[in-house]
Amino acid sequence: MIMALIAVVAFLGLGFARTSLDRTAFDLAELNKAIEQQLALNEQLKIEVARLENPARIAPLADAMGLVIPADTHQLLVDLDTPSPVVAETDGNGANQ
Amino acid sequence: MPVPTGRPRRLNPGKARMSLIGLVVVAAWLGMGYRLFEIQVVRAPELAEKGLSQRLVTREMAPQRGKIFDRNGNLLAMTVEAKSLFAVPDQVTEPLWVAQQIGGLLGVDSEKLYERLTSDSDFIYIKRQVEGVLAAEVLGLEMEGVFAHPEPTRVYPGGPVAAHVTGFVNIDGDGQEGLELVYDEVLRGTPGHAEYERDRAGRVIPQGYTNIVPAIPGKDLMTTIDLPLQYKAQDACVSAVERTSAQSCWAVVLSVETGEILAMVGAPVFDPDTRQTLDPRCDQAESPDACRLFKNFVVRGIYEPGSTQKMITFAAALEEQQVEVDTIVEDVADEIELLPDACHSGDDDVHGCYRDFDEHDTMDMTVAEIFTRSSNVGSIRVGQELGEATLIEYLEAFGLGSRTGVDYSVEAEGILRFDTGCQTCLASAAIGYSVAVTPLQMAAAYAAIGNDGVWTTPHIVKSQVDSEGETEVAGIETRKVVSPGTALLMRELLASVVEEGTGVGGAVEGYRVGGKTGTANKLGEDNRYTEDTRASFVGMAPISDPEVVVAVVVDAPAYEYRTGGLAAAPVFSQIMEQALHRLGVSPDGEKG
Repeated sequence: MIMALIAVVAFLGLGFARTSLDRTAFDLAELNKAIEQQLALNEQLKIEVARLENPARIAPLADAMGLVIPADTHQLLVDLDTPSPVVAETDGNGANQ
Repeated sequence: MPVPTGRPRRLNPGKARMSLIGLVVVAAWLGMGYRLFEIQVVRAPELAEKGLSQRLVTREMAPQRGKIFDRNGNLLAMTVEAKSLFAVPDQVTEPLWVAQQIGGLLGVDSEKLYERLTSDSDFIYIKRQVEGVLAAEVLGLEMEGVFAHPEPTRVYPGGPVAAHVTGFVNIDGDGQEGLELVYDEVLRGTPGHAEYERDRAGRVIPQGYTNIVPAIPGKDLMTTIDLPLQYKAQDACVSAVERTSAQSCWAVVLSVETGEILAMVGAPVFDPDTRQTLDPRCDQAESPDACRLFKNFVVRGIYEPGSTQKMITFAAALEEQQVEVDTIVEDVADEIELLPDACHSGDDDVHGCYRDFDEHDTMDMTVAEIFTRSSNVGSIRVGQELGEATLIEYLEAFGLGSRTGVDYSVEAEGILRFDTGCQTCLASAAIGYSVAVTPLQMAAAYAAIGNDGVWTTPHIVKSQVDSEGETEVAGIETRKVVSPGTALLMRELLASVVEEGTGVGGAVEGYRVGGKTGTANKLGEDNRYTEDTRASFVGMAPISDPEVVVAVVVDAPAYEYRTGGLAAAPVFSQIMEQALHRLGVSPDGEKG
């Protein structure tokens, strides 16, 4: 009698496990599908970003706003080998005084 | 033995019925048993296979085509999932409404679509490869008989800006032009396939049979192109076509040291997404093919370089010590006659007469003056000092007459052919006639002068990237063509052309620039020179330590812009200014 009960419980447990496994597999398939959709959306967004960053779109906007490349370019050259004439003094905690 | 008496014994009818039923039941069980045996044992393999075939789906998995990027990681081309919209005319209940709605949304001809929707066809494509959002909008109208299936499409987010670099693919995703064609095998990847069991709802059956061979995506290409510079260069060329009423304008920007192509542009431009030329003049063109200017002239077009080629003639003469920069060439006239009566026959078909662009008195000129003023007669005299064999040797060393090896679609090799016994070939070649080059060949030749006499293979792809990492391109050839001393002298001569010669239009404020103008008449269909010219300018900056070479060719500008100095030099100046800004090159005189 006990053996029969164990067999029935085992049979039902196996069936339940199998059903759960199948349900999980279907859920997994749905999730994979959702991931694919999100990846596709991500690709679309990349395209959109690239279109928005296209200089052919930005340059006319910059021109309209009056932005221009400086005609007279100056560069400041810093000689790192020469010590700076100004030496900052610091307190014990490293803060400038 | 007892004798039977009375009426004979009869079978009990109920019992007989029971026996009959028993027999039938037994026969039925036997039949079912046999059937089960047949199904489970005899036909089991066949039926299992039949069942599997109903559940099993085999699907080819298309590989993702590789992306194309500029040198800063800006996207130039990529493939995205799109929808191809189709209709089954028999199932379309309101064809007029469908045609009107779709026509408005997709920009297709509503009348033609209506005709097709009411035709006898079983299936019609409405539009292939419609981007996701737009396709969803169409499908959202829930029109009967209108369906969609997924299909990847190639998208070029830069639009026309890099069209002459990337090229394009056809509707089936095969490379047709540019990098898409040259690197088709690399970009394409390897298809995979998936076999799996599915249920009636189309879902994968868990624990079912699966056999998946994944597709291998194509490799991404990292190009040497700088997208903002590419845009500025293209803008300059488009403006030049408008300003000079030219047929086209082409330009290439080359890194002197590495041979990297930083920009490569043409005008009129085209949209790689639609494969249509964007030129208003095309609306009036007799044939639609007349305006399908997809061929990149920088790599695939050839032209007579004219005076820009004098750089090679003079570099060769200096290297061979046939002349010095200050050598005086005596009695330089404004025309020279290499064949009897060639200049005064009155027949344009008679070759052998060469003239300077401007009339002038016969005078003594230094080699530097000849170069700066671009005197044809003086240059021919220098070429004659050099000799035909030596000139050819240097033209070849500078890469003329052979492909540069650039990684771009079907490169032209140009023409460098001296007929035996030709009396004018040396003179013509010395001043850039009777030879044909690509703009890229000229840019590479000038880059050699900027690179202390070392010629480098121009190239447009820096590396290929896949899941295993980045692979640098191989096969970048370098070779010494002249000494650093000669290269330095040539750079100074080129600077003098811009500072006081024919190329003043090529100057860039704040920088010392060197370059050379070129103007060559175009050959007509009857093989005679026409009034149309190809105006060009090739130069480099900063001249003290060149970083960039820019070559510009303007095809058939209006007569008042017919020279390289007027048509091409200003374009060069605009592009070079942008290139120096982009590369962060210090203006001359501000270096430490």
